Amino acid sequence: MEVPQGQLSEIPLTTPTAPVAGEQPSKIKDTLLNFIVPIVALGLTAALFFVIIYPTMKKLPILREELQAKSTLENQLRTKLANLNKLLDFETVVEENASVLERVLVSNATVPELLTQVDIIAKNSGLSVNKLSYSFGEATEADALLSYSVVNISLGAVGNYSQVETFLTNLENSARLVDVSTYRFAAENSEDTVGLFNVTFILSSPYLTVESTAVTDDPVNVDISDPEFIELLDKVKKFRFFDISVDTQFEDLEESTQEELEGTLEEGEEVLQTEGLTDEEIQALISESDAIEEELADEPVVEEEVTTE
Amino acid sequence: MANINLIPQSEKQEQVKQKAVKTSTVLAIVLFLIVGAIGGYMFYQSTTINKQIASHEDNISNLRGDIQRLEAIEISARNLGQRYSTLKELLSSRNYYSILMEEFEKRIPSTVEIETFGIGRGNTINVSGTGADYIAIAKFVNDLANSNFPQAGEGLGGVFTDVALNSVNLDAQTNKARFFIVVTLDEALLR
Repeated sequence: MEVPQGQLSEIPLTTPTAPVAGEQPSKIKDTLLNFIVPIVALGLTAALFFVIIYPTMKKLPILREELQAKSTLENQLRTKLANLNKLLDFETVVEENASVLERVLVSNATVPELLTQVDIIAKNSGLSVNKLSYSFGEATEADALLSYSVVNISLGAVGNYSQVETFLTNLENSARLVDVSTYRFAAENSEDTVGLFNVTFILSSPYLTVESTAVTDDPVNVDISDPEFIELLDKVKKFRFFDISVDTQFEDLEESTQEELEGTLEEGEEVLQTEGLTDEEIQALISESDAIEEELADEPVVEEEVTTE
Repeated sequence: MANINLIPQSEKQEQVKQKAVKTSTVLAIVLFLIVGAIGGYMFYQSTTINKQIASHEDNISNLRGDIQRLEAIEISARNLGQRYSTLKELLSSRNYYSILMEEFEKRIPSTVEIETFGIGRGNTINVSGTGADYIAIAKFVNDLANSNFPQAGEGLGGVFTDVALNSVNLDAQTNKARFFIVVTLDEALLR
């Protein structure tokens, strides 16, 4: 190539050389060999990431949650055990408290005792009871979650304002829980009953049947040293307890003889004659007793004496 | 004075290559070490947590055994707790109507006679009666509605929140004023 005069020639210092066949793989090999350490390091890093770090990263939050749950459960069980040990130390107190609360919020309807209690309270308050009836009812919708049942009582009575007030006070202070659902009173119209009212109370008495089971992992929340618990118990203990109970005892007596029974029936006949019954009425009663006598003759007789305290 | 680099081109390329190898090696090793450290830390964490879980499980198992031995007292306590919570709820929502009667009586003037009294719907009581005159009824209504009634029990001044005089008429035979009122209660004060 001719270079014009007066111009600098640009002669490349190195001439490009064409790759020689077989030189390229050797160059790659050299490069790989040169970078073997970083490549291995990166490979190990990747392996470390995918084998250990990534799975652990995914697993750790779950493990932490599990640990937290186990820790909470352990604490809960420790607290529960401590509570139970405390309750065990005061077992008699627990039983006594349970007994007191059970007398206020009874386990069964025990309607006769309830009606007797209401009747006694009404009479003690000076009211003259003229109607007392009951029905079983469900707790109100709002109280449905509490799962207790109620006995509804309808009480009709006559009394003055002060007696109604006393009745309400006595009822509120009586041990077995009886709530006043509603009440109304109206003045008696006759002149000799001035100041007296015909009163109608609709009362409700809740009762709760409790059948708990031991659930190991669930906490026991009752704390007999809790001020609220003590306050409620003190309040309840101040209530007036009515010991109304029907303790029926069946006592086996000696087998009666036929003669003894006949004697008893004859005595009965005499009593009936003195009661002023007509001959026909006495004959009807005698024929009934004869039928009973025949039945008794067929089987041994055991009298059962029912005593009510 | 200009610097003249006399190092041959091939040598320069070799130097660049060595530098690249060195840098990448250092970076790769550093990265490996960092990732290794993180991996080690995580492995340690995982192992530690697993050990802690195992330890908690042991304790839980022992505690469960201890608790199961106290099954009888647990049942008693649960029964007591259930009865207590129900009773607490019942007592806290109970209306003490004796308080109402007492407060109501205090506000009946001597010139007013109550004939009927009944607990109505929605915290109300319906009252009817007679008064010697209209003034007596007005006094009765005012006393009921007066939250600062002097003889009111402690904190019970506002137990009657509203008094609506529904009807008043004069009984020609007795010359007395008959009335019918609806009184709204603050039930919270009766608890």
